[in-house]
Amino acid sequence: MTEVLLEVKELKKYFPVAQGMFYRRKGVIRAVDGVSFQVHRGETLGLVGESGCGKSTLSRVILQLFPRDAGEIRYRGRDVEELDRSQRSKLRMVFQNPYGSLNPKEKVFSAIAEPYRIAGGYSRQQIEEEVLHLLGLVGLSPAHARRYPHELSGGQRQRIAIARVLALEPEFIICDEPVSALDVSIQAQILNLLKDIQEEFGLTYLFISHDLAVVKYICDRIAVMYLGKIMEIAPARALYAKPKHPYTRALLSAVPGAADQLSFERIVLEGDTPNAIDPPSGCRFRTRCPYAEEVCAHEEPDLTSCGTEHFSACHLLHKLAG
Amino acid sequence: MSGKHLLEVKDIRVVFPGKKGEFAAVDGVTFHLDQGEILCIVGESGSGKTMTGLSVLGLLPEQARVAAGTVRYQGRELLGLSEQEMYGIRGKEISMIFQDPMVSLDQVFTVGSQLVEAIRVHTKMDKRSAVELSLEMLDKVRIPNPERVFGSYPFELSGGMCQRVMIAIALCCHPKVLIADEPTTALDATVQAQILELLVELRDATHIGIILITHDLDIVKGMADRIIVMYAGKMMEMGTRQDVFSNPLHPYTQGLLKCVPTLDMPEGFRLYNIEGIVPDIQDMPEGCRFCTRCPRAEEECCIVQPELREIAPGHFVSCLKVDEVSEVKAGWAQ
Repeated sequence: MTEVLLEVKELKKYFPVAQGMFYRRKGVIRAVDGVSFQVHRGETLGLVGESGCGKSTLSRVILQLFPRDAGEIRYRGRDVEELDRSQRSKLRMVFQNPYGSLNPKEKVFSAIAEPYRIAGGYSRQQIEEEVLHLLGLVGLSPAHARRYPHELSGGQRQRIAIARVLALEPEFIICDEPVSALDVSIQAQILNLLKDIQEEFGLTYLFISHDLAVVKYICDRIAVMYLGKIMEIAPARALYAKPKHPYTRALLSAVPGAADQLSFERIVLEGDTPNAIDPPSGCRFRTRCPYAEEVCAHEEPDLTSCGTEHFSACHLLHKLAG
Repeated sequence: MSGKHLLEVKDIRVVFPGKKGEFAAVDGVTFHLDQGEILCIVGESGSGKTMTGLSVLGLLPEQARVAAGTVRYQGRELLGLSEQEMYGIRGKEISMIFQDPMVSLDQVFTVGSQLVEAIRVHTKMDKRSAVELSLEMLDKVRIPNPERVFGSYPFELSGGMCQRVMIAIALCCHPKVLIADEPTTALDATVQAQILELLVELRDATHIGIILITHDLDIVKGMADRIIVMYAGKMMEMGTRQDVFSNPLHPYTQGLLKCVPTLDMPEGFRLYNIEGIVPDIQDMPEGCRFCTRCPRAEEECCIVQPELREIAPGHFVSCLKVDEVSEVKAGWAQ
């Protein structure tokens, strides 16, 4: 296995819930509640889960957009808080909404040039060369540099966002639902672009999505999150061929039209995700799990090995085998 | 097409005022719906699928108008009807549910009062039996504890629950047609599966005809009896699920099927790129609307508008090159 680029250990992020006249603390939302994983150089780790499972919070905590409450985040063995500016610029992010992530008053050229200006030490001509080079990389023409974001389509804007992220030679890019806001024909273009630039620059991705098919297409390994915890983490092929956790099976069962391709009993979940302020005791998934037993209510399962690089947090692993 | 279909839409054209005069957001859409059938209209944003649905019920935005075409429900023309007459159709004969249930429900009234209102608008039922029917409907859409939900406000319920309530309201007067416009797009995957399952169950139980409007090919694959593929306001292809998924004939359908990642995709498969972007709706090419992105487009395609032609029984395609195209096998095999 190649070098570990990013290591996250027992990471926690709680948001206080304040209500009432004096904003009394009513409790905390455990958005990320003890998450550990590693990302190796050159791979794409997928992070899937339904809304509210904490996948976006996790990505923002890694990039220090939110302070963490506990745990470790190490990039190349160093805590992310200790990284200096040039090292920090190796970690980047592409957001879901290309309409919201570009400044509407700023022309494309200056949006892409900004990282260079902030880094300093580039002449005007160098910046111009770099910007045009990046535009070419993401499949846009130099003419686009003079446009405003509102003059571009959603797919073109996402290309601009990607071009900006590619400035200053990044190593690790977090893609937070980068194609969810796009139409399917544009989605394919952006996914292929992300694959191509990964190959060209040897990038490492943490790819967040709720779409299992998209994740399967682009990821090498996949982590499944539910209510702030990782339920299962495995190489993509193993996760789709032999999912171990009932929640993963339920997610795969939920893909419309996939019913006849499943290698396991189809699970259609009842009810909704419980409130993250007051998650169920023991295993968080037990309230919706069709197999839940006594033990699931009392003890929280840990991620345990169940195959090559395959981990699942479920008490009933041995029973659900197959 | 004979007059025996439940719903018949013919050559409908929806126009909006634009910078250079009127432009058509929907152009020449023709289809029919039978009892107990699920017809999926699939397309990307701006393809006119929502406007097609709205035009059936006369719910188009104010600036839009239907410039041509007919909409016949059980042989009765709906397009010329007065607003008053349409009231008797909407909800009673043809119902609609929308993408975001949180927006469609009124936040300041309880679920129960909204259900009772919908029932009493269309029937002469007294209040007590309307309440009873409401509870029965909530139970039918698999809401646990209907009594509690009956007295709840929409903001107290989750998105999935609200969509169930919407379906209950839509179906409470036993309409024969349900138009569902992206009913699960705002919902999570596992909740989406529940709602889709529910729609199929209701169809089997009541034999309602459903027009399901969606952008999600996975949903179409799992639900549809027949499929309409739309692009830039025009129908590209229409056929049974088998026709469209196993033997797609239009280059756009073929591209669409190859550019969406699916779970059964072979490893190492590279998604197909449909190059370019959808042309501006106000500035459409003169010929086929897909010609700017079509890999098979020739000069002729940019000048002549292709007609929707029946290639095989029930399988319609609008492409000039369809005979050449049909020889090329689509899907993963290519």
